[in-house]
Amino acid sequence: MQRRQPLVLILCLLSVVAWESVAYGDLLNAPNTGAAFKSWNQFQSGTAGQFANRAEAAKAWGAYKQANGIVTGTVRSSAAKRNFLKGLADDPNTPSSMKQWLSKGKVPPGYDVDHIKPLSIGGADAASNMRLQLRELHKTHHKFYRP
Amino acid sequence: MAESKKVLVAFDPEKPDKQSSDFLVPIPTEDGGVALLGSKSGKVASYGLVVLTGKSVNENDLFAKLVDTGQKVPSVDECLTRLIAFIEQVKAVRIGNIVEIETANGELKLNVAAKSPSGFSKA
Repeated sequence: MQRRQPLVLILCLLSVVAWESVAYGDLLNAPNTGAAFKSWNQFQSGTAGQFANRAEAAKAWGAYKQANGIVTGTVRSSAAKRNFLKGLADDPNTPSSMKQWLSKGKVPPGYDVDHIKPLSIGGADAASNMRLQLRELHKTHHKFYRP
Repeated sequence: MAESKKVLVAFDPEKPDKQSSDFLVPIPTEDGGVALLGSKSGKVASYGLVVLTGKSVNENDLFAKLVDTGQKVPSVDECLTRLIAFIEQVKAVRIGNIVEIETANGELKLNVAAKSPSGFSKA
């Protein structure tokens, strides 16, 4: 009988530890509370029937955007793009065939400047968030990835 | 814009020690009253526990949570007004209190049911 006491004690301790992990697990494993909708189109289709009319939905989108820090209607800076392209011209790894355009701050034929983190989800319109991408690849990329 | 670092989370009287992260938002009921809806669970809670958050919460934050639950919002302006009144009421209660919601003369009101979760279980 005396041998069983430590075993019972260990079992009790284990159950307390398990209970604690379950209790705090709720908070630790809480799902990411990021915005479910990131654009007006997504918002409209996702909340169909939730609002009385389109005007109400637009008001709701205004409040929703503000709460989730969603930025829309961003203006693209041509100066930032030009600086990015000129920066590439100075890069020793850039093919020399491209440099005639890049040194003038122009996009080489067949290429596009892509924003790595799209502007629509808060990406910066800065050289650090830009990359040169083949136009076809860029089109395919945004055919499937439309944030 | 009403802001508060205090929010209500769902409180289960049968499990007073359980920690919930289900934020509560007020919604109108069919009988003209107001109920507390869990923004994560989508369930109506009878009681809420006042907790402190690291970030200030305003009516737009609560509104966004309400929209994410899929709850119908007949009038956005009315809903935002109700949320502002709710935040003002939450500011007036103390952290750790257990509260229930009611409407008096068309105004939203939070009644303190117990001063702490342990106090609630004793009552």
